[in-house]
Amino acid sequence: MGRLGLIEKLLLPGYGNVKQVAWARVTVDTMRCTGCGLCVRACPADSIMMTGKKACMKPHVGDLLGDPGISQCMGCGDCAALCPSGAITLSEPYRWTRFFKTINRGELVSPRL
Amino acid sequence: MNKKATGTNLENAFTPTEEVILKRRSVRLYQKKQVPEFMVKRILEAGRFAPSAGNAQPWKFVVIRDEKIISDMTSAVVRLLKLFRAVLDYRRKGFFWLRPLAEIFIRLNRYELHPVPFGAVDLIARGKLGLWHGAPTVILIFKDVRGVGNPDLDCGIAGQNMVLAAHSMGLGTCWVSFAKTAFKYSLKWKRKFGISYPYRFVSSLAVGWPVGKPDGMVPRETHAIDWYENGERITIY
Repeated sequence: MGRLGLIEKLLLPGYGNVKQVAWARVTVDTMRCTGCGLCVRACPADSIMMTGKKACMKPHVGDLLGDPGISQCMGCGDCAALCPSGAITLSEPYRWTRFFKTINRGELVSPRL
Repeated sequence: MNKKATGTNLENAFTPTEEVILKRRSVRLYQKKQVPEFMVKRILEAGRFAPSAGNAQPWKFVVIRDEKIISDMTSAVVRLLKLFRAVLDYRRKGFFWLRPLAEIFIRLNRYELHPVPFGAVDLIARGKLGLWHGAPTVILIFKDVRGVGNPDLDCGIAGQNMVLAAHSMGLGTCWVSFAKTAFKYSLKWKRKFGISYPYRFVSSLAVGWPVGKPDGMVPRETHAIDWYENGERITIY
């Protein structure tokens, strides 16, 4: 969180309103997913679940008023790197605005030579 | 551009060191099997040779390979985080009245009570996320507050040295700072490890054999970088 003015300090978002943080997303290639469940066990944000022997991302409802802590994917890429069949790809990064904004960020890019 | 084949072939491939750096992922799924003692000692050696301000080496490492201590500390942290959650989480049904109190706490300590780590507080308190994820070896990193300049940074550098050394051996690691609560909000663990002035907790590392093959390259966001050359400034990503 950056340096804030008085009004901004008063309007500091709480836990019920995290619209200023857009959580990252992963996509699962259901053709390649074997349903081993490694990603579900490894996910630190409890964002992946199994539906019908295939992994998928938990539904994300925008605010956290329902089930707290649901699908707060940080885009760490652990699932993508761990997946033995390479079925998971990181599709959207963690985006931050206003209070949570940090340095200017670009697109998701793999290590460049 | 004509890529000249050099002896080391630097332009076409990552060096082994770069590969370790780029393929390192935080491992959160460990086998029960203990890490050999010599490997942990080698990891500590990598930490010992980290650069530090004024060569002050302001760190103290505590290695825990005792299952009972790890599980006791984990449950102590879980208890504390449950308490935090009980005081702070006003999203639960029937707890709307907690909101003003929680907001005061968030304003007083807005970095530690940031909504992003709070997601993890919530998961750990509900037992959906382990503290050290079942790693058989834990390295606690304490800073010596008498260190030159910024001892936290030196501890971070030493820690990253250890992490990279561990990954080069095929081990998995994860940085875990939530253990701080055990040292900040209770005296028991400070007494147990004999931690008092000048030492203060910085972070900890979970070390163990990973389940599956978690190390691999993933895409990451690029950051804006200012580049000064030939009298002008450009921003690259």
